[in-house]
Formats: sequence, structure tokens, C-alpha cells
Amino acid sequence: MDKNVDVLGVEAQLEVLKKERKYNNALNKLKRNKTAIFGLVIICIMVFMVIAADVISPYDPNALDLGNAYLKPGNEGHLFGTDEFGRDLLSRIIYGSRISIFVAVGATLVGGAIGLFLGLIAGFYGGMVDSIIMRIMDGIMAFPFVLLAILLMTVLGSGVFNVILAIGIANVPRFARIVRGQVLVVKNEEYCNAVRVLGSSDYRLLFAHIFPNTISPVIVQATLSVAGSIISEATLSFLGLGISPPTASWGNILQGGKNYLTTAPHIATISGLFILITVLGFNLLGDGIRDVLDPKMKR
Amino acid sequence: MLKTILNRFLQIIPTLLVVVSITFIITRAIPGNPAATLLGPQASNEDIAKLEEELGLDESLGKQYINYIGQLLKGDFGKSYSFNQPVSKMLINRLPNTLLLSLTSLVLAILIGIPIGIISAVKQYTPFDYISMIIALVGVSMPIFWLGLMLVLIFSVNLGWLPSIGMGSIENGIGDVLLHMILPVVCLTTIPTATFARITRSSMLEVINLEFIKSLRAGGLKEKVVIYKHALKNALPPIVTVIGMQLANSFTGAILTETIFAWPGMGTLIVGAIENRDYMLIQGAVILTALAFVFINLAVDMIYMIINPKVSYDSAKGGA
Amino acid sequence: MKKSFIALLVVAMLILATFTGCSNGSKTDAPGETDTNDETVKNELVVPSEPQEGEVLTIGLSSSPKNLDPVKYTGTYESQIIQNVGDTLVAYKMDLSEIVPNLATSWTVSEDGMHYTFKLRDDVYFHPGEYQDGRQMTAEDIKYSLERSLELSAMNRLDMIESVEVINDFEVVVHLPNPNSAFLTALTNSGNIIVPKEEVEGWGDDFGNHLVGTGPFIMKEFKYDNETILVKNEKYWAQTPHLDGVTFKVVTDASQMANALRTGEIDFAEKLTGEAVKIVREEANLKLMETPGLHVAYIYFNQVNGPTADIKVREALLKAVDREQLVQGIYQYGEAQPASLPLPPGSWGYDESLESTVPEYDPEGAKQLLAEAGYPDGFKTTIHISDTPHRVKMATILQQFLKMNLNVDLEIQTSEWGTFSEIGSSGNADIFAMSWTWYPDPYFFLDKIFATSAIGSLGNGQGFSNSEVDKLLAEALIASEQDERAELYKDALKIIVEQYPGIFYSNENVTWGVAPEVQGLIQRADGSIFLTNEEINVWKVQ
Repeated sequence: MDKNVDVLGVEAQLEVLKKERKYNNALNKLKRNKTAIFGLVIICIMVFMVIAADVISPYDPNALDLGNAYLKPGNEGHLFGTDEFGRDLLSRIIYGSRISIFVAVGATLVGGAIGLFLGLIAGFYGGMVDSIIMRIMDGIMAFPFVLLAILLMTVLGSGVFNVILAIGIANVPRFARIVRGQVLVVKNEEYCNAVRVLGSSDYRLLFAHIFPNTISPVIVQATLSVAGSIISEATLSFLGLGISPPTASWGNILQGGKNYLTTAPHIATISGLFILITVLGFNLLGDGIRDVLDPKMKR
Repeated sequence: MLKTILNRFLQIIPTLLVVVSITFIITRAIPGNPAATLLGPQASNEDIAKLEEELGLDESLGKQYINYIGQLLKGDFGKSYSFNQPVSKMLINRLPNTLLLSLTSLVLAILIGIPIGIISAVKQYTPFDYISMIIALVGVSMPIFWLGLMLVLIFSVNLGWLPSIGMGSIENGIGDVLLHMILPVVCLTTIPTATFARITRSSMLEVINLEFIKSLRAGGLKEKVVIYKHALKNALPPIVTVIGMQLANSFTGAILTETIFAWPGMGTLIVGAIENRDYMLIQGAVILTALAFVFINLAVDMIYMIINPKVSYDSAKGGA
Repeated sequence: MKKSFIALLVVAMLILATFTGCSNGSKTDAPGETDTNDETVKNELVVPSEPQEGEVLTIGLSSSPKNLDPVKYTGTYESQIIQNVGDTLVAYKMDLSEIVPNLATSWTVSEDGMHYTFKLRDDVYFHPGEYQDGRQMTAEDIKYSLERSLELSAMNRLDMIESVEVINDFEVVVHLPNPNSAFLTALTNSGNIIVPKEEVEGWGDDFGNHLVGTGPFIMKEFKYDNETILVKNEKYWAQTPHLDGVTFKVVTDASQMANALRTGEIDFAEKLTGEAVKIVREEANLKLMETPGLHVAYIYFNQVNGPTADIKVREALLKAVDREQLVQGIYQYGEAQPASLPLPPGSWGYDESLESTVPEYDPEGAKQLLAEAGYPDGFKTTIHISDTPHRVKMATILQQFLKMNLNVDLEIQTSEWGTFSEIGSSGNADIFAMSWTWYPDPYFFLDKIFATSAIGSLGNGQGFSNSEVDKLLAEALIASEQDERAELYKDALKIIVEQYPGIFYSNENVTWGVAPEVQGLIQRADGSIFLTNEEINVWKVQ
């Protein structure tokens, strides 16, 4: 392509360049990335489930029907079968999406906000502040997540907001590190020094110039963090520390299903599949965004 | 460089102190009284008070903290409340079992994941690439304990081929232990393999498309040499970082896997310790794990420095 | 790229196919149906008429035993092991009907009930150990062991005695400061086995890892969280065990327990619950042993604070729940019977006539009572439970009953055991649920759950206090004849029941899963495992 452009006249060259720029602009790139689209589609389906739960759910997810317990998928009126209380599994999965996704997004926001803040401060001010903050981040990362979560949840007690807090805290170090790294890179670039020389206040520098440059990797991390947080919620519920029954979350449906692996394997299998598919969706999207933002990689 | 290593070693101490202190505070903040938990529902208040005194739990928190730090400095991890064994002895007993699973999985993941990543990168856009990357993506998207449950469901419950609990014993021959290891190792290996395959592929892709690789090729060097000797070597740093992170994450995986397969390792030990409010055991296990992570981090950083001597340590560009 | 899309679809299909395929492929049905397509071959096991010698029995314990030193905090799992390694002075018959001689050959009680004279066997020897090589057991050992328990027992298992006096090599007198009819029962506790002084003092704190007693099996190795290995004691005084040894394996997960039975990794699983019960029952190659247990599962209302402090509210709550349905919903495999009283039917203090005084399911009556109490529109309250499947099931069904019949909003708070026991004993729980299992002597139930002195411990965390009951319980403890005691306990029970302290909803069975090779096993209502004593000698078909 390069060689051919040189042959054309200046106006033509400009036009080719403009077309190329448009073609390569972020949104279009994203649109072209089929797998990212697929991921987005999956996420949209799940979001639809979250929003339309009341409408599309065939039964009340908490309605007990002890006479019809453990029905296999495909049985009259129960597409996914029923659980140990006779509650319709499809309905519980639909309502469970609300909790699981709400928790994951919440935990990402919590982790992201705190991590962003700490990373900015650490990167910008450097020195002692940086050291202390990073040591604490290292300390938190030194705790295997499960352990941290177990300890936090046992102290805080169960409940949706505590779960969000626990997973959120675990998410902080990764955000903080990424942001700090970006800040350090940007800090040393020429134009920053130039702006400083011109007399901009620290505050302004931080927010107007450094902050925007940290956004892209943060967004990538955010999608991956949502994916990870869904799994974390499931893990906590699996250990009995997450969302308390009878509220349905994919994690606690999976945990309940573990006790009936032989008599009613569909409970654990289906809830796990939904976790898998949703996390897959977020991972696909995250990969796609990362590809877009990182010009070096071809695909 | 020696100076930086020494520096890093010294930095370990404050990190550890933070970990120890946080663990101490959190374990004691957990509601529930070790004495009451140990004695069970049929104990009377006097029984509980007596045990508390015996365990030193009736002293002020500050005093308990100081006592503990003092013990630690002497290398004494204290005694487990529930098992009446020295904590260090219990940890040493269990650690090899967990390491057996974790290291085997890690090595397998490296041996399988990295080659797949390389081949995918080299043969970009071929069916092999697509299929392996999608499988890898699915691999990193599943909860590990679900994978474990499915493995149990298929291979143990339905097919009856493999045992589902415990470690077997050496007395019945190495074969017994190996048989018991199969499912947990498969469970623990899958996700890291997928992770390594993905990072290897993306890192290799970055390097392969660089000018100097193209010129090496043009210069007539054999493809295999180009790939393995030059491209791979340059692609290594991020891969090594991820491997380091994975070994640390593998502890979480180990806890969940051990719980599902009733494998007698550190994971089951800690979960049991928390249930029993066995403060000494919880603290000891967490500190050991933190120590391990910190050293691994250090080792990874050092390997990184060796591979890439141009990296200046103090500017620490980019995130992990 | 189209190719990647197709590849993604292919992989997705494969995954879906594998998983749905295997869920349909397993032979599972809703409970109640039998699988007629099942092709399991019935193993025609030929059982010889005479017991065979040899073989090791592998038992699955659902939790790991912690410290086997009898004076330490021994719970049920430790007891299972301890009572096969050591012996107590007296013991319960296997059907728990009476206390019979064990290491003691006979005993007499003084008039005032404060001095018990025991005559001892002269053919009992300790296992050979590190600090003694299997010497004979004498009265000194009784004195040592019982006084050690008095002084050191974490659970105060012998707090009713004062001292032990040695009369001669095979005779002791135990002195009590006050008469206490629970003493003999307390003696049967595994925390009071007779141990040799040299071993205890030689091992010190480590004695739990090297338990030495006089029992049918000798402890070879104690891998605390994994397995405990016992071998046969050739010189056991009652009879020589048929088994070569016993291994107690820890299998924490209930479904793994059933699996382990099927694969033959264990021969005997104690405490089967849930799905595992169904699996073992339907498995042609396994035997399910069930017997009613000395157990009560209950929901306990706060007697002092909150809406349940009002007796009318408690009665209303009781009437709003159909206990039959509740039990059916929780125990889908017949593992329990519906109950109504705070004592298990197997206890000799149980009074059948009181069953009818417990209110039946009466939603209308409940609603009326609640309105009279001042809550015509219901109220909000919380139940605390530990995070086991049973409790969660119970709470979920309870929640529905209360909402449906009384518009009471029940919030369910699950926590793991340590947290739960703290909340429960503090008196801060509106409602909590628990179960209780112990000896047939009502002292061990009623005094722990309803006596004023027990307030603050988990048993009476809800603050039940009634002076009449306290008086009756105290009298019953001192009375010496069982019939007399039974009458007093029945009177106390009547008053307790009239207070509607809670919903006592089920008595769970002792449920064991056993491989058919195991012969001669006898179940006890208290769930304890005895393999060899004067009444029983378990063996395995080779």
C-alpha cells in the first residue's frame, strides 16, 4: 500500500490517508473484530436477562414446589428442570444473572475507583508515598484471593454489599499497578515537562493530562475484572461465604448443585455453563478492546 | 545489580510485617471464639473460660500480638489449638502434598501451554490457531471448581474410572498416589495452560513481526533457529512474569481443588483452620504463603533482570 | 473473520454436547422412582456362617479427629476412635437400655448417693507402649485416670466427683460431694477411658498422638487430618477381635463419602446425609443401615428479646408450621421422623402423652393468635443457621410457611459454625436452629437447653428460664432411682412444652452405609461405633 501511495498525487494521497485513518479508527476496528462482537452479543444477552428478568422469567424463582423437586431439564414446563425445592431452574438462573452481574460490575467499580486513585497518587508523587502504597498493594496481592476473601467475609458477614466490598478490595492492586505504570510512562514524556514548565498546577496536570492516558489500559482491565469478579462471586458462594440463600446467584446455585451431583447434575452443570459463557463474553470483549488499543499487534 | 537485590531483600521485611499484622487483626476480628468452637455446642461457659485461659486468649490483644511477633522472630509458629501439634510441623507435613499438585500442574502447563502458544503464533490464522485459542479462552473463563465437579461427575461418578477423593498412600505403591493425582492435576492444570498459551502467543506475535526477525530470516537463518533462539528469547519477559503470577494464583486454585478432591494439602488445612478458628494455624499458613509469594516475586524479577539486563529497576516502567 | 466465528461455534457445540450428554447419560431419577433400566450386577456375596479372621476395616469419618487425648476437647469424631482404643469403667449396652459393667465387674452405691464402690477386673492389660510394656491395669490407674479427668477435662466431664480412693488392687471408691445420678452416665463417656500414667506423663502434650488404652485395638499411627490406623489387640480382655485392624479415613464431603463406598475405598461410612443416602440405598452392592437416633432438630425462639418473647407469638409461630411437611421437604430420603418434643423418643424421660399437647398445624388459629399479640400484619425477624444443606432447606421452607400464613418476613442468616455458635450463645439471635444429640438420660438434654444455669452457653442461648423447671431438674439429678427421675423429668418436660419455647421438628436416624462384606455390625441410637466388646465382634468376609 505504501509504495502505491507515493505514486499518486498529493490530493489523492491525502484522501487515501484519510480513508485509512477512518478505517483504522477505534470504533471501526472494534466493529471489524468478529470475536469482540461475539463477546458483546453475549454480554448484551446477559444484560437483557438482567433487565427483563421480571418479564421473561416463567416462574417466581423462590416459589417452592416440593412435590416436583429434582426434575430433569425438558420436563413439563421446566426448560432447565427444577432444584431440590422444586424451584424452576430457568427462573433462578435468570434472576441469578442480576445478582452475579451486579456484584461483578460493582466489585469492578469499587476496585477500579480505589485502584485508579491510589495508582495516580503513587505514580505521580513517587518516593515515599509510592513505596508505601505499593508495599500495601503487594501485601494484598500476597494474599491468595480465596484466603483474603474467606477472612474478609467471615469478618464482614454475608450479604450482597459485603461481597462486592470483598471482591472489590481484591481487585484494587491490579488497577493500581496498571495505572501507576501508565502514570510513570507518561510522566516522563516530553510534553508533560513542557506543560509543567508553562506553569500548570499539579492537580490540573494530573487530571487533564495524565489521567486520560491511563484510561485505555484501565478499560481493558475493567472488562477482565468483571469477568474475574463473576468467577470470584461464584468462588465465594461455593465456599458458603457469598450470597445467602434463598436469593439466587449463579454461584450459590452452583454451590447447592454440588450436593446433588449424582441425582441432579443439571443444577451444577447449567449454572456453571452460564458463568462460563458470560465470563467468556467479557473476556472476548476485553481481548477485542485490547487489540484495538494496542496498535502493534496485528490481530 | 547486587545492590538492587539486597535492596529488594530488605523490602521483604516490611511487606511481611504488614502481612503478619493484617492476618493477626483479621483473624481475631472474625466472630466466633476458638475455645467455644473447639469445645462444641455442649460446652458450658466455665469450660470455655478455662480453655481460653489455657490458650492464652484471655490476655489483651496487644500482649497477644507482641507475644506472637516475639515467637515468630525465634522461628516458632506456635501450636495449633485444635490439633495440639506445633504449627510448623503441620505446615511441613502438608506443604509437600500441595507442592506435588501445584508444581506438577505448573510444569505441565508450561510444557503444554507454551508450545501451543508458539505454534499458534507461528501458524497464525490457521485452524490450529483458531481452535486452540478458543479452547484456551474457554479455559480461562471457567471457575476451577466447576471444572473439578465436572471432572468428578464424568470420570468418577459416571465412568468410574478414577478415584475422587484423597491422595492414596505410598504404601500401596506409587501407582496409587499417581492414580489419585490424575483428576486434581487435570483440574489444576487446565486454566494455567490456557493462560500460558494465550500470553505466549500474543508475546510471540509482537516479536515475530518486528523488523529484526524479518532481517534474520532474510539473512538465511533456518526458521526453527529464528523462532526458538531469537524470537522466543525476546518474547520471554512477559511470559515469565505471567508464570510468576500464576504460581502465586495457584494457591487459590489449590484450595478449591483440594476441597473438591479431599486432597490433604495446605488448602484443606487452612479451610479447616478457619472453620475451627485456629488462630495459630491460620496465621502460620498465611505467613508461609505470603513468604512464598514474596520470594517468587523476587525470583521472577531477578530472572527478568537476567533476561533483559537493559531494564532499569528503579524506573519500573509499566505495570506487572 | 468468518473462520474464527465458525471455530467458536464448533467448540461451543462440543462443550454443550459433552455436558448435556453426560447429565442425560447418568442413571438418575427423581426420588421415589427406581431405575428399571439399571444393569448393576447383583454381587452374590457368599457369607460364611462362622466369622472369619483377618482383614482391615476402613471407616469413613466425616470430619477430622483433632486431639485424641481423652481429657482434651473430644467430640464425636474423636470418640469413635478413642472408644475402640480404650475402655471405660462402665458402659451402655449396645441398645442403650442400661449401664453395664465394663472394666468394673460390679458396683454399689452408698445410701446417701455420695460414694460409689467399684470392683475391677483382674485380667486387663494396657497396650504395650513407649513407656510401659503392656502391664496389668489396677485400681491406681482408675484413680489416676478419673482424677486426671476431673482436673484437666476441657469439658468438665467428671466435675461431679471429688476424689477417688484406692481400697486394694482391684477396688476403688469414688467420692462425690453431692449425689449426682448423671455420674454413671458420665463415666461411659470416652473422655473417661482408663489410661496408664507412664504413657501420659512420658508423652506429655503429645499423648493424643500416641494414645494407649486397654481396648480391642492398638493405635499404630495417627495422621490427624488424613487417617488413623489401628491394629488388633491380641490380648483384649473381652474377646479377641476378628479384624486385623481398623483404619479411620477422613472424608469431609458427603457426596464423596458415597463415592468412596462405591469404589471400595472405604467399607463403612458413618453419618450419611442427603443424596448419599439415596445412592447407597439404591446401590445393589451396598447396605444402608438406619436406626432412630437420640437426636432432636429444633428451631429455638428468643425467650427474652424481640417479638418471640411473647408466648402468644411463639404459639402462633408453632401453629403456622406443618411439621410433617417440613420434615418431608428437608429429608427427602427418609432420614428422619417428624418430632414434637424436646427429647428424642429413645430417651427414658420421653413422655408420649405430651405429644398431643403440642399444637397441630392451624394457620387460622395462628393468625388469630398473632393478631391478639399485636401483630395482625406480621413482623420482620431473622433466623440464624449454620451453613449446612439441611439447615438451609429447613429455613427456606420455614420462610415460606411464615410468610404465607402469618405475613412474617423471615430473613435467613447463614454463617459457618464458629460464627454461628457465637451468635447463638450471645442471646442476640431472634431465632436460631440447631440440633442436639446425647445420652438417653434427659439430664443431658433438658439441663443443657432449658436450665437457667445454662444461659450464655449455646445450649440455652435463647434465655429460657423457669424456676419450676430448674427445681425439678435439680431434684431429678439427685434422685437415685431411674423411675423416680423419669417422673420428675416428665413433669419438667410438661412445663417446658407449655411455654412453646421452639419448634422441635425432627429426630434424625443414625444412617450408616456399609459394604456387604462387613458382618456383625450393630447400630446404636447415639451413633457411636463399637467394633469389639462383650456383645459384638465385627468381621469382614474375605
